[in-house]
Amino acid sequence: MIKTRTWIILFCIIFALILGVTLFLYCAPKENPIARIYIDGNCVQSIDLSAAEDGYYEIETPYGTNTVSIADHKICVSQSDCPNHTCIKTGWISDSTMPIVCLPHRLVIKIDSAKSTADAVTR
Amino acid sequence: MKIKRLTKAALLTAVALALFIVELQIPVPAPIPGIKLGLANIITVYAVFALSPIEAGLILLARILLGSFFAGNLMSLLYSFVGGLFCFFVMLLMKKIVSENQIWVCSIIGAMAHNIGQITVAILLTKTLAVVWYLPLLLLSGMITGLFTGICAQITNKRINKNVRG
Repeated sequence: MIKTRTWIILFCIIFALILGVTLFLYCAPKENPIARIYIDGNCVQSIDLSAAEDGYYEIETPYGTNTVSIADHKICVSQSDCPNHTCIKTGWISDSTMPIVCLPHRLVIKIDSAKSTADAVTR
Repeated sequence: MKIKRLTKAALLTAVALALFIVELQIPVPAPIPGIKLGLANIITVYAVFALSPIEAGLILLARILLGSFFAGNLMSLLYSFVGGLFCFFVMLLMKKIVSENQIWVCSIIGAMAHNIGQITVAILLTKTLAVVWYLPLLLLSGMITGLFTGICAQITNKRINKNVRG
């Protein structure tokens, strides 16, 4: 049997490690962020956030509709007819490693870093 | 003897379902898909330690199926199912190397296995690898909630052993 104290120390170390990774992920800003919208793993839209004008997009998925808003070079899901609304509660993202996910609609909005700002809005 | 075991399993399933339904009423503060307290897991952890693997597995399956029906959310069935299975088998393995006073250890590792299962399903369903960035956050919350449900299961196990004979 492994001693209880050993387990406590082990879990503290694992917790600290994962916390470190999480903080690192949050504090890694991206240059020239490009928001890519994926449905079922296919990129349906790329939006250059540094050049994008404020506005919104209706994203139709086979499972429902999400409204994606852009303001002040940030992006969020502002409306959705999914049951849990987790995608809306995630709020605005601009350079985060964490994507916005709407699991019921299999929609993912992820921020990529672009080398150049040449491609503005492509479909 | 057989009826006694069946009754115990049925009772535990009912308690697990009740906990599951109660938990639906508790709002989750974090806007992260998949994070929850996992109160019903107290029963799974307890069953893994107090009953046979088959009984514990059946209680888990019955709770996941009925819970999804009652919650009216079949979408989450796949996540609960895969996460639950990951958690269950890891806990069965862990049971062999922990003592009765270390049930919480088993629960924490089970919760982390559950998170890995959930994220695997999310990656497969969305076909987007980026979802994996939620895993660290899920693991952090899973360790905390796993500790909580594990301590609950451990107390439950002790009290039942003390008060119920046979």
